Amino acid sequence: MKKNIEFEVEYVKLLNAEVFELKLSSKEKLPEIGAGQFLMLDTPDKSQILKRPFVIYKWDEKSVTLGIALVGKGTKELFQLKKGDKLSAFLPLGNGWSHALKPHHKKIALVGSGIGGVAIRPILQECPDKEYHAFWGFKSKDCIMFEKEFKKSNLKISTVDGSAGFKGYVNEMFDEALNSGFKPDVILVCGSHVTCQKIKEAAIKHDIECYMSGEERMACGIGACLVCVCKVDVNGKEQNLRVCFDGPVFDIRKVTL
Amino acid sequence: MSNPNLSVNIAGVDFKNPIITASGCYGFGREYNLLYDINILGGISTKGLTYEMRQGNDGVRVAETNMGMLNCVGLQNPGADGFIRDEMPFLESLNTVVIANCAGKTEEEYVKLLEKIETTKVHMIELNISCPNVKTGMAFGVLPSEVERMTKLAKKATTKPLMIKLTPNVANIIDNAKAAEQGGADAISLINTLLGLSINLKTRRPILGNNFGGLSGPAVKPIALRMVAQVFKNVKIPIIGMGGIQSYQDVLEFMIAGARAVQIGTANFYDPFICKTIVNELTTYLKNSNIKDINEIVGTLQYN
Repeated sequence: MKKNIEFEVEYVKLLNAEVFELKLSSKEKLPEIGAGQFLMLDTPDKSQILKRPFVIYKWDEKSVTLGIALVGKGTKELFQLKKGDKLSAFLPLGNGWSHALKPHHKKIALVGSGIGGVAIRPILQECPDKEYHAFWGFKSKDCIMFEKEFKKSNLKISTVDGSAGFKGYVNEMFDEALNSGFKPDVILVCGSHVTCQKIKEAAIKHDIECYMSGEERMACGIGACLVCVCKVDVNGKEQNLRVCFDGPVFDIRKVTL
Repeated sequence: MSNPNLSVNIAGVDFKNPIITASGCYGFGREYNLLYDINILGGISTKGLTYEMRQGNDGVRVAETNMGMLNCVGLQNPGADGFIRDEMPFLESLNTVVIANCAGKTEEEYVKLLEKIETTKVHMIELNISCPNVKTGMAFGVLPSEVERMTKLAKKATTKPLMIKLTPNVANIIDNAKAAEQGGADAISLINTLLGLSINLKTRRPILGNNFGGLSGPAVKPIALRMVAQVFKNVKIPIIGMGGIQSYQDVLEFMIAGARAVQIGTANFYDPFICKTIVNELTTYLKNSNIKDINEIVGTLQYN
């Protein structure tokens, strides 16, 4: 059940120079949250009327933690929040990963770049008993995040400048694995547009099921306003589906990227 | 005190209260009906319909502005057949007024759509000759002579009460409202969005894929309110006012300016329960202010 919840800030903590974790706690019990679902968060600046969509990175009965990239005015203001500050959020929204993950998916590749990990990590919380292989790409060593989160998931890291792990892009590292016989039952992706494009190509080439968590600018977050659409093949016809309601998780092979 | 009367009548259609959801901001009601019982509403104006289904515009469709937002959705909708097949059964199951917002690229398309809608149980038509996001949508609504011509054309194609939705992007809103009345409109709704622009400083390009978009939200309220007041003084047909409404006080202002009912749009995006809240608070206000009938306040604005 979607609910508007009053939250209090627990902490703000940097994950790297450009990404921070924001933990929010609530007095009331939260509605049931599924991995890959998101919330619409109020902004501290009330002249900005729209709520902001953020995937729920971690959660328990009375708290949620978000991973937020510092990209603009709004995220900077969120970064300046202090313990005890109040703001509300509407949750949980979107379809989440559960519709993508099926019982025959035992060996799962988690692939992506940068902050995309905040949308992937929830799978480990929801389905801890699968065999995971995480492939994560960053710009350089200083940007590396989620090492602890993906520790038990056979994490392989790539950096564009080669300062840690595989030198190059995450899709190149992933291609190498696929070409040397690695065959997961399903690939779950979240990352930059280019990362998603490249992983889609790899999934099609190697005939592996593949799902992505998408991102778009949103207004309502519940499927009414139609501003967050992406092009998806529905029974052979390309249609504009709502990232907030029909997604954010889509079969990547059907998404026009 | 007994419960105050909130019901209003517009062009022969009874609304249980003056709170109607605005076109394009509420889909066909399904998403909000998951959150609360939308039968508490006076009415719903559907997502703008066209005869053929439309996928809408490509690229970024929303840009936030101070106290408002720009959109360029471009009338993404299931088309007349899709609407009748997939949305009408749900809308018919509701106990609230259903207004079909009808748009088109050509005169023929408007007529074909209206003839299709004529076969449904929709209570009322809102003729959208004012959408800024489709190439020719606004052209029909800009010149008063065109407003009158389109109104006459629509009037011939439907027997349902016909409301004309006016664009504020015109020389003189009074002339356009009079033109709609002259053409035989049963009611007028205003305002549609104001044409705006938002620029990305890094790329020096418009943020919106369609370059310009329609501005809505609290930022436009004073303009909308002024236009409602001007139109009220100059036409006899009922007015449904809209533009930036987000509280019961805003509703009262629009009704005092001359609106018989109001539509609530953008506020649904940032507070999905806003219409329910407003219906409740409006009722409480009337009780506390000892107003027996909400119609008493319509057009009571006294100029200085």
